[in-house]
Amino acid sequence: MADLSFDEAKSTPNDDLLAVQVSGQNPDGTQWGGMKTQGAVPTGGATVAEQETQTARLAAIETATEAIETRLANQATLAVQNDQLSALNSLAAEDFATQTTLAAVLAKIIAAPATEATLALQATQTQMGTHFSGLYSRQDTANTSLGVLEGQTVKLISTNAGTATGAAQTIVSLDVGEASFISYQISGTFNMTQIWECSNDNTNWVACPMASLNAPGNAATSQQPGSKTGIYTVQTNFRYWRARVSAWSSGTLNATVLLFGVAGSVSTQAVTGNVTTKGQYITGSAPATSSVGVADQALVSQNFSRKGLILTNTHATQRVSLAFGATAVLDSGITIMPGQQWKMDEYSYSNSAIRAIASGAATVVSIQEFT
Amino acid sequence: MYQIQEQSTEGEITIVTVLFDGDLEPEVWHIASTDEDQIDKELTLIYEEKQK
Repeated sequence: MADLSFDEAKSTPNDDLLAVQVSGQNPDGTQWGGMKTQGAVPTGGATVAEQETQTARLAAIETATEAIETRLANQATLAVQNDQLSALNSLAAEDFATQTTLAAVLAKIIAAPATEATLALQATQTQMGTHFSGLYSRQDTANTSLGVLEGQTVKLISTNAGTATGAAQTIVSLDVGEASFISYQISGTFNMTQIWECSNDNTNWVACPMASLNAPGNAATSQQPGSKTGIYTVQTNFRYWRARVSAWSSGTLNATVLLFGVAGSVSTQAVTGNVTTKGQYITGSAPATSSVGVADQALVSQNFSRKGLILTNTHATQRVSLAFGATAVLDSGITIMPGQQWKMDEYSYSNSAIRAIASGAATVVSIQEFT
Repeated sequence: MYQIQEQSTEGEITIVTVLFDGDLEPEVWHIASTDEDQIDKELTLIYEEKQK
């Protein structure tokens, strides 16, 4: 409970002025506070009734001051709830006419100082667009809002774009399984409404509210109306995300969607026992052969699905040299001797095209690829 | 709030000519639904946005 505190509270009565000074220190070290005055106190020539009134006013202020000092003596800090602070700030000179407003506010502060729960609630209400005076700490880093731990960093995974010029159009639809959060920017001149949806099965979609960066609290629903541009974000607790036009009247909407992920790990754990490192079955392609000559030629096409490859030089006397995505040179790089095999492994894996050259014409290479 | 002056459908899209309260001219909106409740929801949303 160290959000706001009184560090000084006193009355400063004198012959001409009634005043109460209230000040404190914010969490960031800055000072706040002010002085509330009643105005000139009648002195010379005052009637007995007036003097009695002033005496009563001074007594009330002193009573309030004593209450604050007692509070400060019992507790290092005195937190102030926002509405109490507002009440203090709104005190005017006329409030001292009866000496009840200040006393009431001070009594409220003393009787029910702010708790962390009430301050947190007020902070939430502020984020939702409700105005409360007061000071709140701001989580000003993406890492904090994402719950990124020490040792982890936020990394841009991909940049995507979309556009819409009519109703029912999908602006963008993405697999966000690898992302931690989405940053969705809308630009253009348009008059349309759009809806954001998310899904785990890419078939059944549910509304997906997003938060507005430039207008916090304005996009708490899944639907963004009108012609608003800006950046909206959401954490990805789902696999798929999309934005669609639900109603259109005019214009073109342009969208840029950035997917951010969390990189790095925070701990390691030893593994014992039998561990399967290749956790999937692979499928052998149809066996094939290719006759390689004495000039560089294509042997195996590029294959992004390739998981394995075995090449066998079936010739009894001639050699075959290989090259990955480059011109093959005899006896350079990988050279398969007559009757020998070459197997692609995790240290020589490549999905690029393979070229070959042989030491003699019509050197047949047997090919077995796996996907 | 609003008055629909014309309404037609093209597939799953409903085209409405609507005059919102406070506007002088009607607007044509293409709404990605043929459900009346959804159409009302969209037009209400648009109207509320206009009031901001």
